[in-house]
Amino acid sequence: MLSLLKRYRELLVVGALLVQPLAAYLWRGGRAREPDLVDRWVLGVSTPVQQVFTSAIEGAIHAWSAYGELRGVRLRVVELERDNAALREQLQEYTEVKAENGRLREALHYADTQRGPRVAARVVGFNPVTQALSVRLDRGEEDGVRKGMAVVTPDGVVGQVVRTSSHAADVLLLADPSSRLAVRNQRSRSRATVTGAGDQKPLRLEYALRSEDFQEGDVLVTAGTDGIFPPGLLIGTLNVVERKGVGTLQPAEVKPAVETARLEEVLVLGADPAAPQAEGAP
Amino acid sequence: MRIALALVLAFALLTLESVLVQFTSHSVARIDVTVVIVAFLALRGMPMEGAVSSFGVGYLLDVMSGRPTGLYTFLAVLAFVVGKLCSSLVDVRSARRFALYAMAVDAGHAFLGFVVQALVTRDPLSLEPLYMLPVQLVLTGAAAVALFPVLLKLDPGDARPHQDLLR
Repeated sequence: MLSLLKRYRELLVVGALLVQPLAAYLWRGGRAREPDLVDRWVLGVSTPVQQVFTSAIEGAIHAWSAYGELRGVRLRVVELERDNAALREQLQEYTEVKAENGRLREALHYADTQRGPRVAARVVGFNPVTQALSVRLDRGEEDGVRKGMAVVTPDGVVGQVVRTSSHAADVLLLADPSSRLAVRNQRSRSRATVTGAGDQKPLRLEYALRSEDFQEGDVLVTAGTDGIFPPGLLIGTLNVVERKGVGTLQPAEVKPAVETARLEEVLVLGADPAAPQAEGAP
Repeated sequence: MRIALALVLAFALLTLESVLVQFTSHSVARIDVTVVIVAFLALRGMPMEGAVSSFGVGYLLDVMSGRPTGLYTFLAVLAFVVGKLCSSLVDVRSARRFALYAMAVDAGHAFLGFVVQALVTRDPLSLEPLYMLPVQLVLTGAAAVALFPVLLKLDPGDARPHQDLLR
């Protein structure tokens, strides 16, 4: 028996290396596992390296772009851009809050829309596998980031945290085909679902009834019914609304508000304690 | 090639790739750097050492993918085994031939990955990876050409001298 094992040792080891990951994959039905100790260690090592690479490349790009400009002017521009982004976020919030207030006052039902915790994070890497569109952040569990948290920028929704380790988190982008997000038309308040369609492709509007009012150019915002994304965050703009002769739905293309290919800094939002708890998005 | 060396190289390339994607509008994500390493292991590595290295390289890709499932670990070992079985049938001594070999391994790796994922997972699948496969193969081939001298320096193995030297 021992001589047999010795004789076929190579074959057995190679076979085990082949069968183990396949069995694990089939056992979980293709679903991702929670990070174990080794995963966490690899993430712990890779994240600082990614940060160094990112900083080095960003530093080189910024140095090149700032060449010839006065230092003070450059700093002022950066400051104004940051202010502008913050003001745009505020304006978007005010528009939504104003409309919401009007409806709530009419209905004589007022609910405090208190938001949960916020964590600012930096994108340090993109997932190198084309089948899953995700990015890695430099903030993790020790910074208060948890699985399921919403990730946004001042421009709108980015995605949702799908995995965390001590100092890093992976975010599934809205453009990923497995993403789902409940949305509302900012103008008509009609509800539907937005799904991803893949890298650098417009998002898809689904489950929008033909009887509902959706027009090209309409702005879509989060519905806030999933208990993950607060209501009123910008998703994108309706691009092409398909009105077929038959059917009960009117699918459409949505131009995303956030250019994910150029993501640098994001905000991770904790769950709103006042929001309804539900399974979902994205 | 030593196992640790393969893992360090794969880790460095994956980390670099994940960062470069940020600055190149995702086009770099089409480069299958791990397949290039596995293809080289299949050509030069001993069966046991190569299989363990491929397992490690695939595991790294799994972890770096953001959604570790074990699929890429399995595909890396399978690519190594198939590559090893085919290695005696091909004559790969130049960077160009290595690129063609790596592209063939990558094509099998990508197609099988898509099929297995389609059969097992219940999530909606995008056909984009298949549409983009030619681009992915070209980019991976280019990466193989660039990496071949590096891989040779790291592990010259028992390579036979180039024919020109025998003249």
